[in-house]
Amino acid sequence: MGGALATGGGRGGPPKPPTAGAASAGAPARRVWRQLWKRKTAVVGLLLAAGVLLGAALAPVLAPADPLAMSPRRMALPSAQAWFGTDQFGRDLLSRLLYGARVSMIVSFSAVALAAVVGGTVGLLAGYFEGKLDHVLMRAVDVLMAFPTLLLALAVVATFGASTSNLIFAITLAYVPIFSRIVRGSVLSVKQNDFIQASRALGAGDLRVMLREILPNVLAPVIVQATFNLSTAIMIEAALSFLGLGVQPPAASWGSMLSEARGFMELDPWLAIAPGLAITTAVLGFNLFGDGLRDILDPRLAGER
Amino acid sequence: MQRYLAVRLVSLVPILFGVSLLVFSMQHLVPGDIVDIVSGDQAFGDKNAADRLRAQLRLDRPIAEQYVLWLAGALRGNLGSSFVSGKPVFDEILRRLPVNLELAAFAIGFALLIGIPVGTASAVWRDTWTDAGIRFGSVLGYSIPNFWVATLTVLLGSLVWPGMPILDYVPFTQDPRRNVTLMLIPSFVLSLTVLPLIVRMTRASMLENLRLDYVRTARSKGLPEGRVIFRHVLANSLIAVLNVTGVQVGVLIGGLVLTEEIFILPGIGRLLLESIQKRDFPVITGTTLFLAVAFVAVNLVVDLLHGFLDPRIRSRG
Repeated sequence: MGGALATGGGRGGPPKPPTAGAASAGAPARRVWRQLWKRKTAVVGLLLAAGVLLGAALAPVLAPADPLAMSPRRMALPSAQAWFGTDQFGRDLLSRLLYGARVSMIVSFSAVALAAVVGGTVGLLAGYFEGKLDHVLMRAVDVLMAFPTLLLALAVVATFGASTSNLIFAITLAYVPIFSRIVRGSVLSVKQNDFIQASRALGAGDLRVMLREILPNVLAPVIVQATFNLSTAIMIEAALSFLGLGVQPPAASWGSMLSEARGFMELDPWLAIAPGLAITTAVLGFNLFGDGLRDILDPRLAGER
Repeated sequence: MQRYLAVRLVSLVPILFGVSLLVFSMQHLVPGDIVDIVSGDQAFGDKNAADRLRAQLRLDRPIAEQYVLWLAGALRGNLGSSFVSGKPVFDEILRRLPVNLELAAFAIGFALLIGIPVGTASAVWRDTWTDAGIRFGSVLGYSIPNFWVATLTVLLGSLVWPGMPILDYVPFTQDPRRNVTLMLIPSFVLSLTVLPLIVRMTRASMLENLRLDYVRTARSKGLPEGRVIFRHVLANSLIAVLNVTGVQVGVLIGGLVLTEEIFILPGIGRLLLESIQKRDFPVITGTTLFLAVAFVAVNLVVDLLHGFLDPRIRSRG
């Protein structure tokens, strides 16, 4: 396998070798939680991420105004009516940020979940059956890895058009190879264990061995990777929406809000600062949380810190 | 070394084949008929004009033949002509390439110049406040969207520092000093996309090396600590840093698109964005293919350098 190429386009957070989750797998959730609470930065990350998720989920309840409703009070300073002020169309900024969180979370969670399922299936099949199937699947993965993430996303949007669902598809496509490689690597190492042999000897078929014996043992690295990919997915959603190729106006998205503010930011810098702060908060939250999770679930990588 | 080179090159063939196939299929996956997009209003409803265009673009041939013709052209540097300007795509790319090379070179330079010393400090002062600060700084740096930093830099230019040398471009051949001055700030901002990872990698790799026996040997034979750190540990850690730098070129290519858009620099990234907005497919596919191949090529060079610097890799083939 190619050294640098094999680690791909730097999509999923810090590059790391495919890991075997055998040692840490099946860690009871309660133990993970207990260890997580001991890490201050992980707790901070969890709180930030939870805050963004809560804002996204409760946007219709929390938002003081309709995020699309324009008013004559343009670029108003923060006040009792509009806590964060209003934008160039007199829309309530706080409401737009909350609905922007909703868009950001929907896009990144759907894309990462889809990529984990599709990529996980590919990796499971490739690692379990090896041979020709493995060869073909992994070459396809290599090809997708040959595109820098944002370039791949741009290509998808250029082909199929700019929309929220195409954006989800674009991010999914960029992440499928990452999950495929991680799961394949873990499957190859889990397969060596005696309990797999034992299960087969007891008459379990391929499907049963894959789903009941192997899958639970490769989940840990997948969860860690998914957390990091959530943070990069938030970034890609914002970047593409910023370029006008993602979520389309007037819908509120952090990226498009920042892009729209560019024309007015000399008059009201806050309009350009607020959406960026929102993106940073969300990305930082998932990154810190992911760092903590990795240390607990993937002790082999702890040295990387 | 020659065998290593040969093995690496051969392993790229299927990847490049797949890349070309994927890029080629883009304009055939477009919903609707590409001829309608190309001709816009002109040929709308005019069947003869549409057919002529179809023949001209070879869209009437079998798809396999179209692919072979397209690939044969691409291999000879012919990526077709723009639907909009009629200019050859490859010439347009080459004309803009210097902007990208300069931005990328400066950005990598900044990232290494800052990242390696900072990462070294973090490793040497492990578990001190300095280390904690650097580590938190790198996670934070990794989480701040670069296009936001770029936008705020432009804002700073207009509010606080009116003479800030940005938002302009002068070719190097015309005025080298002005050219470099104008590139400094955008490339510094761009370098922030890769800096945190270089810091992290330097630190991690140094800590790993510090545990090894050769460090104890060097210390016990009485070498000054500075010499141990710099001549032995840092030198050995740089190979890992080189590797991560190669991988980060992918991030850099994505970052270039946004940097060029925000600082209004005439590079390949903006060419791609403009072509997407105009649905100018020869330019979209041409630039996508070019950037993907460039990414693969950079990783090949990093791989080869790695093999050159570290004989253990070479022998593994």
